[in-house]
Amino acid sequence: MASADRSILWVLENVAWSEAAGWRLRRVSGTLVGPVAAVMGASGAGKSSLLELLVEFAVPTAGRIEHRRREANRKRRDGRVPLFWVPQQLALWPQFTVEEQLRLVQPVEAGSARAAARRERLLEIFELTSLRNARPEALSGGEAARAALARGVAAEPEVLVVDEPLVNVAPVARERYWAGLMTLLEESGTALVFASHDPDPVLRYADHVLCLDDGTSAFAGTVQELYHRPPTRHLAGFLGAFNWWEPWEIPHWFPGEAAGHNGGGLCLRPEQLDVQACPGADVLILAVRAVGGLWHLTVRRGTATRALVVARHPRQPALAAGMTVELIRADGGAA
Amino acid sequence: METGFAVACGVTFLRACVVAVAATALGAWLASALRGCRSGWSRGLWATIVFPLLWPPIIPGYAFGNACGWLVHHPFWAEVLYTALLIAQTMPVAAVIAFHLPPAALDPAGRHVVRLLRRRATVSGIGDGGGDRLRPVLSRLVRWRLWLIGEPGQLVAIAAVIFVLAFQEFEMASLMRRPSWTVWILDAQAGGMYLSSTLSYAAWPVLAQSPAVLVVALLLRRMIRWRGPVRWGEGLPSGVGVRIVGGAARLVSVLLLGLVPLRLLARDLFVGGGVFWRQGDVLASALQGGAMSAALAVCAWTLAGRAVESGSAVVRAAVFAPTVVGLSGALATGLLVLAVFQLPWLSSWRGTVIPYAIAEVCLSLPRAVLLRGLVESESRRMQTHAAELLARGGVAVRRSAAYVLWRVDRRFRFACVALLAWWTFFELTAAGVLNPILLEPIPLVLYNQMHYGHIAGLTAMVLLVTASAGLTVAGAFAVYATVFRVGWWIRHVFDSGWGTGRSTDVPGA
Repeated sequence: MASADRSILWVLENVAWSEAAGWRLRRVSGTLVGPVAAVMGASGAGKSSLLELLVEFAVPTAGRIEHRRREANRKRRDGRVPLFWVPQQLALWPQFTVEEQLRLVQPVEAGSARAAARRERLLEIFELTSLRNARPEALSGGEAARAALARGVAAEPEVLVVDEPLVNVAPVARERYWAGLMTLLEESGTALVFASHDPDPVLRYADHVLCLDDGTSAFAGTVQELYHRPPTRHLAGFLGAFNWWEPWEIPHWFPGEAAGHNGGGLCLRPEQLDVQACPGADVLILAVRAVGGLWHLTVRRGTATRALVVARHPRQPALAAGMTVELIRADGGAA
Repeated sequence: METGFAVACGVTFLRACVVAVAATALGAWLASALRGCRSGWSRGLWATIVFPLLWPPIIPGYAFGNACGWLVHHPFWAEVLYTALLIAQTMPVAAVIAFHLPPAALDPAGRHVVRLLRRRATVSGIGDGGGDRLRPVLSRLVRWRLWLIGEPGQLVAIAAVIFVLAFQEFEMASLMRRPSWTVWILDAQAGGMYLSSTLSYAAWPVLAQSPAVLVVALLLRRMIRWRGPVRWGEGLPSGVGVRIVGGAARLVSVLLLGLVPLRLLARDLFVGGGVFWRQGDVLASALQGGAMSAALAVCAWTLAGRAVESGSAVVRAAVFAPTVVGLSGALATGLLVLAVFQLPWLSSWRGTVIPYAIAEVCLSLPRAVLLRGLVESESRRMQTHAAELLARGGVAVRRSAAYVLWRVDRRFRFACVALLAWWTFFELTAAGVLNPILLEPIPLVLYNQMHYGHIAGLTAMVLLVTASAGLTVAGAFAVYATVFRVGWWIRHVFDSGWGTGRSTDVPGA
């Protein structure tokens, strides 16, 4: 089993891409680090455009993109495909059946037993066995997305670039396919770069993340860093629910604590904030709503009112409007 | 304006309207049959549908020329026959465009939302006039706009393409002696009318067709600029009735344009076949014309590539201008180029191949832009790029990459250029106007003799020139395929420095 290493996949320096209709990327800098890197951003932020540049489907109008793996691969000359791509449009070849698409990209002779066994495994993991003889036009959106992903994995490239993987697939099955995908990629030592606006796969699978905002890179670092110590309130929102205190709010809500992370704001995720009923405490719950595993609260302390999102613990007594509570940081450190 | 010309214009206009409506309706039904034509026998279906696009119009025109002679006292039936041939000839164009059109800006779901909003507006009293005189007018304008950006608007655009083709038709009208403005103008020109007078006559029909030409230009622009997903054939009518009508239309078109003319001419082929082989200069002229057509097709294809790919608005406009000239028709383009080459500093080139080449490139450009737009649609480019990424891998994958690239991209590119060359080779209206002395296209030579009726030797030459042109294309295809494979092998299989290894580095960062 080959293992994917934690090396730099791409280095981006002031990358810009504009067309007659307007800009697609304004200025993107940062590194993408393997084995799994995510490109995040809202719709229209430039995720797909960046991926198109990474795979050289398009050329930037300014800046520099260095594909590190390719340089390393060129020296090694092991004949491995340095890069493969699953765009949002999937780019399945309409002339070929699902199985043919896999066979054509396999790095070993397609007739060999190893190639056939791997094909069968891919078809099984992505639940395409019954569709092996179907052409892309006969597939539903979800089936086509799985087929395109299976083809990408079958190529066993150094780096697989995927735009919004499995976005058309039912959420119930998505996790299963993701797990299969990660196992297969690990086996072949393939690094993954994927674009997503959904925090869930990024939190689960990515090590490194590049956030885009309005065609500009807003953050490049580890997922853990973005989750626990996001530089801004806006960036905190990329990875889901959060509570944010600006530096001047911190002493009011957490007496004795002067500033947040790096002297900036303080971000506490729902599970990092404990709300405990405490008669006589000075934080009053004004409104409360349970949403899945979270409490959405409106609280007041003195003259300041704010919203909070906290995790619901099974053994925790229910919170209700009118209760007085104490806010306890559960992130393991003072601000 | 002379009465004969006015009548010819009126008849051509009405005929083109009838053809546009009938061919668009039948074409949309025919297009639904194209869905799922990817393999096996269904490829034959494509072949029967697109066959009229490849069949030179001089063949049915020549074959039915005599029939129109017999119908000289029954002009109505002669007209019906000619109109039916035009419908059969243009129907596949409608089918191919309907199949490849990007989805309408207002899809059926969008239309339903509009209907719901309108209902809500009526319930709440909005949109009923309510004392505001402008409101009904505005509401009607909005309805028209919605209609135009929806599927009906797409049908109008297809009908505009068919109208333009039918309105500009020359070869069959001339050979079947049907009234048409193109025939009238070319006859007048051949009869010695001054070019300035011919141009002033031609300006009327050109102006009359200009709204349709504008719609076609907008359609072309929309097709090449479309970046969204393409689900070819989506939204087309379906059902058993549609399939039956589509099948019947296909059968009639193959019969009318192909089998019946071949049956009428087949006897002469055997009688006059020897003439073709005895006249070595015919074969030489055909080869020379073929080479010229191929060169012009490559020019048009390359220019069209600039229109589709270039990010510069200036470059796109520079290609779009001759495209619009080409859209105005072979006769108008030929006359315009002739007028340009009568200018004192260009007159020395009159009669050479240069004006002919310019006119033919202009005429090929609309089709080239359309074909290039289809071949280089974003989804198709992505498929090609996926195959190109494979080419950076090991030997086994590189071999697969060559195969995929050939199947997904390269053979279509060849087919497009071959199609353009084929149409250029058999185009004779502009050639007739410009009369290149050193390179008189062989179809024009044959066409000029067709007015004397069916002659065994001529018939044999027409059919054998067509067949040899077809064989040349097939041969060129085989050569191209071999060159591609050998070239690929040399570049990728023996090339140890696979992948360029360069980083994408743009100065001025």
